[in-house]
Amino acid sequence: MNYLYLGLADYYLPAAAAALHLKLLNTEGLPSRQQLSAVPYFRPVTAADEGLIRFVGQTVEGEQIYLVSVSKYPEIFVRGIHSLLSIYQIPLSAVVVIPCILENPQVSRWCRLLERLGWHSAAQQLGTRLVYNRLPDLKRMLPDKPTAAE
Amino acid sequence: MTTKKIIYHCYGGAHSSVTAAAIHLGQLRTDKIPTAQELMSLALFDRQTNDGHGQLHFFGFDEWGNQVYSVGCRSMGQTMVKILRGVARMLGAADELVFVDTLHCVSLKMRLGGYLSRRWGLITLGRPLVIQGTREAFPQIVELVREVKHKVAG
Repeated sequence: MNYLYLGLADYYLPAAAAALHLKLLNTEGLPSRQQLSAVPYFRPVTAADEGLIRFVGQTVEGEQIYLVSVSKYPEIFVRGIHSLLSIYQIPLSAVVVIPCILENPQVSRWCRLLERLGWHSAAQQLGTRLVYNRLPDLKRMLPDKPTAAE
Repeated sequence: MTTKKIIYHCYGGAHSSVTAAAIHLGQLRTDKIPTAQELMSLALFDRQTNDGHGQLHFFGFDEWGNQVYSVGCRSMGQTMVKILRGVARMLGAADELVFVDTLHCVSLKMRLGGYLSRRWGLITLGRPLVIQGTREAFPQIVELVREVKHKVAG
C-alpha cells in the first residue's frame, strides 16, 4: 500500500504528516523544532519540487510513504490519481492520497520568500509554527494504525 | 509491443483534447473541417464542467489497441503529467502512459468561447465562438494527432 501526502505549495505539512506516519516523530505531545528540522523534506518548496513525488520512507508493514506538492487546485490531482487507478483497475486503497492543505496558502509564500532571502532558520521557524498549528489535524489524518518505521 | 494509454490533455477537457481524441479514433475525418453538428455530437465537447477536471475520460481503442483518454488539467498540465507518471511508476506502469498537451493548438477564439461557455455558463454566446475556433484550429490538431500516431505506431 502507498500513501501520498499532498501539500498545497508546501512541504512542511505533508513532510510532518509523513514523518508522523513513519513514527519519525512521536504522535504524543509536541515535537521539538530540532526534531521537525530533521524530518525529510521539512523545508520550503521550490519551483523544481512542483508535482515531483518524493519517497519519504517505508513502514515495517511495507507501506511506502511519499509526499508531493502542487501550487494550485489540489482537488484535480486527487481526481486524476483516482481515475488513473480506476483505469488500471487497481483499488483506490493501493494509493491513498491524503491532502495536507494549509489554511492560508499565502503563508507558504512567506516561507519561500524567507528562504530566498537566505533566512533559512526564519523560514524553518515559520514552517514549525505551521505544523504546530495543524498538528491535531495531521494526527487525525493518519491511517488508523500508524506503524513503526524500519 | 505493449499497448499504450494515450491521454490528451488541455485546460478544461472540453474542446481541444476532446477533438484530438475524436480525430485519433477516426470519429472525425481528417480531410475536412468538421461541422458544428459533428463537433457537438462528440461526447463531452463543450460539456465538461469544473467537477470533471482531473478526471480521465475514456474515448475508445485505436487501431493498435491503444486506449485513448482526455482530461482537463486547468493550467496544471505539466504538474498533472508528473504526478500521474509518478503514481504509474509506483504501480510499475509508467511506460504505458503517453501524455499529449493539446493546449498549444487552442486559439484565442477557443479560449474566449470556452471561458464564456464553461466558466460563465454563457453557452449561447460562447459555444458558437468555441466551435468556430475549433474549426479554425482543426488542421493543427490533426497534425498533432498525426505525430502522436506516428510515434506510438513506430
